[in-house]
Formats: sequence, C-alpha cells, structure tokens
Amino acid sequence: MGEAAVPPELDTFPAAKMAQTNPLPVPMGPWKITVYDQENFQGKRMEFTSACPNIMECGFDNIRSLKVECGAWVGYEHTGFCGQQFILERGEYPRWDAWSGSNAYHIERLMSFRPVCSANHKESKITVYEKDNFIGRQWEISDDYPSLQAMGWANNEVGSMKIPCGAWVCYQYPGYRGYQYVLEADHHGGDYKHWREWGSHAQTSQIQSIRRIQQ
Amino acid sequence: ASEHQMPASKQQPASPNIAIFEQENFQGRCHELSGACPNLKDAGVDKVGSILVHSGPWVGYEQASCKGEQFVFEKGEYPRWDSWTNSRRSDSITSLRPIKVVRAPRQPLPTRQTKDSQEHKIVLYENPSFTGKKIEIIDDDVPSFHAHGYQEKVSSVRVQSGTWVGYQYPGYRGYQYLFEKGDYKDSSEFGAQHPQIQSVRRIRDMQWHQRGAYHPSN
Repeated sequence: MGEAAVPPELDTFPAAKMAQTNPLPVPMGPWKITVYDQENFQGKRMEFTSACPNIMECGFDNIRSLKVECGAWVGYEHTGFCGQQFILERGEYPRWDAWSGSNAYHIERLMSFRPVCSANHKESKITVYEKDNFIGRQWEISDDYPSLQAMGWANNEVGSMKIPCGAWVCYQYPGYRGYQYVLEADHHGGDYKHWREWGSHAQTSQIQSIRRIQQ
Repeated sequence: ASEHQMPASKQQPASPNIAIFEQENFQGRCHELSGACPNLKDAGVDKVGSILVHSGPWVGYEQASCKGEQFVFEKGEYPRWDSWTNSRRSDSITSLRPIKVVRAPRQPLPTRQTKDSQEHKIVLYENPSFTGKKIEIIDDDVPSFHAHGYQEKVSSVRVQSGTWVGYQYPGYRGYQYLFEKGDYKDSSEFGAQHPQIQSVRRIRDMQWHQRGAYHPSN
C-alpha cells in the first residue's frame, strides 16, 4: 500500500469556481470516498468527503481504483464534472471497468467526482415523457425498471423527464448498460426537458432502463 | 392513467421471441428463435452482431450448451456486443435460452404488502451450503450490498420466488449471474469463478408482473 497523501482543503474550495462548473448544493450528509492512483487499491491514496472538480490538483494523473464508504457519488470522465458519468454507490471498484460499464467508447479516466446529495431510495419519483418539453405519453415511476419496454413503454427513447424527488440513473440499454445519465431533483430544478440536458456526453434520447440511486 | 388493469385476455404471456443479426446495428442475416438453442453455430448463426428481444427474458452464454459467461437479455434493443456484456471480457454468444418466469401471485392491491404475496425473494450467504452471514431481499433491487451493511463474499444463494440477476460490482456491473427459483449451494453452481456479488436486481416483465407496469391510456 502506498503512502496516504494529505487531503486537500476541499471545504474551502473557492465557491465562485464551483458555481462556474456546476451549482452544487452544500453537502448535508456524511459522504466518504477513497481514491487510488493504481488498480486494486494500490498506490497513492486520498480520502474525500465533498466534491473534487479536478483530481490533478491533488497530484493524481488519474483514478484507477476507488472505494465508496458513505453516500452516493457520481464520477466524471473529465475535470469540471464533464464527459461520461459513472454512478458510484457504496462498495469497491478495483478497476475502471467496475464503474464504466461496457461502452464501445470505453474510457479509463475518472478526473472529477461529487456527492449525489438528493439520493433517496425510498422517496424517489420520476415522470418520463415520450417527447421533449414534457409532451406526449407520460409515466410516473417510483421503482427500478431494468427494461422499460418489458413493462409496457413503447420504444427505446425517452424525450424528457421531471424529477420531483430523489436521484435517478438512466441507461442507454436494458439491464442498466451503456451510457449512464445521473439525473437529480436538486439539479436543473428537477426538469430535464431535452436529452442535451442529461449530460455533456449525451448524443441521443435513447434510454432503455432506469433506476433509483442508493444513498 | 398508468394504473389501468389489463383485461385478463391480454395477460397470456407471449411466446419468447428473439432476433439475432449477424452484424452490428441490426444488419446482416437475421435468425429468429422462439426456444432454447444449445449451439447457435449448428443453427446456422456464424456470429452474433446485434440482438432484438421482442419477447423476453432470455439468457445468452459465451459457450455452447449454456456454459461460460452469462448475459441477461430483457425486452429491448442491443446493437453491439458491448450493450450486453458488462465485463467486456468476451464478445461471443454461442447458446441462448428463454428464462422461465413464474407468474407473480395475483393478489388484490391492499394485501400485496404482506409476506405471502411477495413476488421476489432471494437470500445470499457468505459461505457455501447456506451458512455464514446472509442478506435477504424481498421485492426490491439492491445496487449496493455495502449500503445495507453486507460486505462479505457470496458463496451460496437461495431463490424463494422470482428471477434475479446478481453482479460482481455495485450498480449492476461486472459479471452477471442469473438466479432462477431454487438453491445454488456453491458459487460454481451459479457459474462464478470468484464468490463476489455486490448488487442484485429482479427481472420484471409486465407479462408476469403487472405491478408498476405502464398501460398507455387511449
């Protein structure tokens, strides 16, 4: 096991810079994530209890394994909370493929991460709409759906979504596979009216499975 | 609007149906299956490039005779191998079979919360032969065992009702293991080389599980 580095002064991270990248709510609950610069929890190690917009500022070139000890987090491909999103719930992730899933465009980079503050497994609700701007057929969901089509949704797309409470992760393919989109009641006012708002990596409105995030 | 009950006549499950295309994005020769196929090569399928599941669920296997790594398919579209593997270890599917689903007990809504009416129940154990620490799950999906205080390995599994998929990593990632009703007293019985499971979810399909299904109103 490598040397533990000194955690940076994350609580005093300049508020103005945070606001530019992503308007983060102040974390309320206990969150804890430990990241490593080598696979299998080896190498340089650092613990965080709040958001990290750029792991390179902490002397890492990349994150190659991690453990989530408290709360739910979302990791990003790029610094500043951009690029592909990876939902990180409590547990051990020894290699990049433990969090990235199986995309054709696979990436081995995780450069920023933040807590998912509104995760609430019991109270989560989401309404999915057939078309963008909350138009067309709608379905109010409060459970996990590994295949929307198996449960009656007509096709492989969702046009827009409203989240009154909780936090959700939506996936491109059935069975929680493909691109991950983390959508939260406390971001965008809970309204995601077009697929372009799901994340900077979104390219289509294809969504075939949806689930609540476990805090 | 989404709470309408389907008329009883519509609740007869459709027969399983899966379309296998030899190339990616639903191109090339297409083969349709409505039952188990222990060796796709014998059925004239040279390569599995993409898959459309019209009526599921199904499970694919890396090797012939339903052996090797497992890939669970529910109704939906799978345009490339990386849309069904979670491990990226293999792009090969050599056998396929429909997953047998037992219809959920049909209970009036107010009694559905009682223990007798559970649709899905699974117990996972730390050690072989149903011993050691355990985690019991009823009618829910669990993306993180750690969040429920279970950090042990999983060496044996008992499914009392429903059909489930277990995963090596949190959030339904890594190797997939199908669990149908019955006992798996050692990790080799569910096809795992390492007794590690960190998330588990139900397989649900409105053909058998009406609760929570979407019924578009006219």
